[in-house]
Amino acid sequence: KPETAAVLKRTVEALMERGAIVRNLENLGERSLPYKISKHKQRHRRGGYFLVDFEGPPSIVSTMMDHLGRDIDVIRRTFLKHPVSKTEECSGIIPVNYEDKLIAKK
Amino acid sequence: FQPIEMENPYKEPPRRCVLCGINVDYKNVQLLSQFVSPHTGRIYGRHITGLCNKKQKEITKAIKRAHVFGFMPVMYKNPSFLTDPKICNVKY
Repeated sequence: KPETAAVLKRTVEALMERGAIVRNLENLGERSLPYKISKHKQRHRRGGYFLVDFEGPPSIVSTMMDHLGRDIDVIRRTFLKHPVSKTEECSGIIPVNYEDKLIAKK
Repeated sequence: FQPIEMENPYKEPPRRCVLCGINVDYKNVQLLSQFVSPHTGRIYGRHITGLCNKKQKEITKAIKRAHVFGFMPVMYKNPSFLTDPKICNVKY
């Protein structure tokens, strides 16, 4: 467990070094992976999931992927855009008028 | 007397799909696994799930993301989610 803390600390420090503002760090628990992942000459079956919320320039993505690729303790590195949740206005299924569509596409 | 122009008063509210109003996330594997075949792990099409355009697209994107990120198994359905209630009208 202190190793995971060290890994997290390293990544967060690397992020801050490149000028990213870390907003939040979430632990999604430790569970067995859905499939065996082989990384760094080892076959992994269990792993811990962490989610780091940060803001930064898009140029650090490639450098961070490089950095995390060299870290042995990191099994899978992924970057994701911050999700903008916008499902408040979901009106139901609007029936599409196929006839009109067909005629209009002439 | 002339007929008054008005909107159809007997209009039914628009039909809502199962996920209308629910935020789809790549992290809740349970929800995503309900739209995946238990034997092969393939994603069900629109004629089976009965979702609207937007939601079907969101679900497929989320499932593919979950595959890549290592949240959801690819070739099969997670056994702990096999006893979930049936949403899609699948005919085995």
